[in-house]
Amino acid sequence: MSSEETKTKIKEMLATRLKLTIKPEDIADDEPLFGPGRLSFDSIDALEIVVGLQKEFGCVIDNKDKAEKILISVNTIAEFINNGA
Amino acid sequence: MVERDKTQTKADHRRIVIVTGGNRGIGAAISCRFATNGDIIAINYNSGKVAAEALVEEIKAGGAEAFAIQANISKSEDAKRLINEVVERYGRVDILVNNAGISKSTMLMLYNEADWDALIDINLKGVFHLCKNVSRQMFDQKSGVIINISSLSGVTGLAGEAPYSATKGGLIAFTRSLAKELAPFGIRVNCVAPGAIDTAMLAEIPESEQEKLKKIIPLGRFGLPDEVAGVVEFLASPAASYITGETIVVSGGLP
Repeated sequence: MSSEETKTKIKEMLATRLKLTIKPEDIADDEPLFGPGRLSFDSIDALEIVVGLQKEFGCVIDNKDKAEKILISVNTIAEFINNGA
Repeated sequence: MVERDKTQTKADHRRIVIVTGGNRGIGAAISCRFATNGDIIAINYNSGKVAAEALVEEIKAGGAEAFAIQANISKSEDAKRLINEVVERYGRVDILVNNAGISKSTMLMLYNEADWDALIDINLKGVFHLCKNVSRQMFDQKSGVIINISSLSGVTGLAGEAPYSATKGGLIAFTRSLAKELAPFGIRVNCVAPGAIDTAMLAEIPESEQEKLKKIIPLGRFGLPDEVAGVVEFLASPAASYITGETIVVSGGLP
């Protein structure tokens, strides 16, 4: 899967799992997922993303340190997936 | 902030049950109880392959569906494989019964460190591994029930069983906290604490001690494995839909 395809799939996963009312393509690659900003996901959303990555990409994030390094933006998640997570 | 769509719903399903140590004693009774309800049972065992396969055949002969899965739950990879195998087969896990456990009774002054480690590994770490893995699946489903089999000695304590009591008491505390953590996602977590139940574990106690024990049980007898299984069945049922974080003692009135 190309990097662009991965990012598209991640955005679709986010939109579906987090029941977002914006279109997947409206999420910018480098847009912060957490903290102040438009998306402003919370800790429960983080769990939803972790489970989504496991279910849809087969990528397991099994500890908090790892999660904090990966769940920053679509770019960082895509990097994690494409590096053979 | 971006708004959320709250209209998505989920579909109905059959119940998929995992019972660790489900091949003998209380675990076997729990497996049979769920089987009689028409549920699909994954019977986990570590070394008792023959007993597990015999129970699977017995359940199948009764018209229900069951299969045996070997896994040493104290090992992270085994616990993960157990949950993954059931999910790959049925797409979900509705009920996890953490029944597998070991006991070693000796006065603390003579207790081996290796026995302490073994108790912690099976009775506590095994539950940690399984709950960690199954909670991801149940989170995805937004439903599920986890039932941990503790012990009366984890509630009241028992001489000669301080390490065992520590693991079983720890299990009760673990249950309370996990119940609060998972409740928002439709997952209930409860505990059952059996007293003296007529199993192989109890048979290890000398007969004279067994008689003494019976005399202090208000109901005057040991419990049957199925009497514990009935409570597990209740906690897993919709009748217990408003119960989470609780421990039900099944001890014939023994304090």
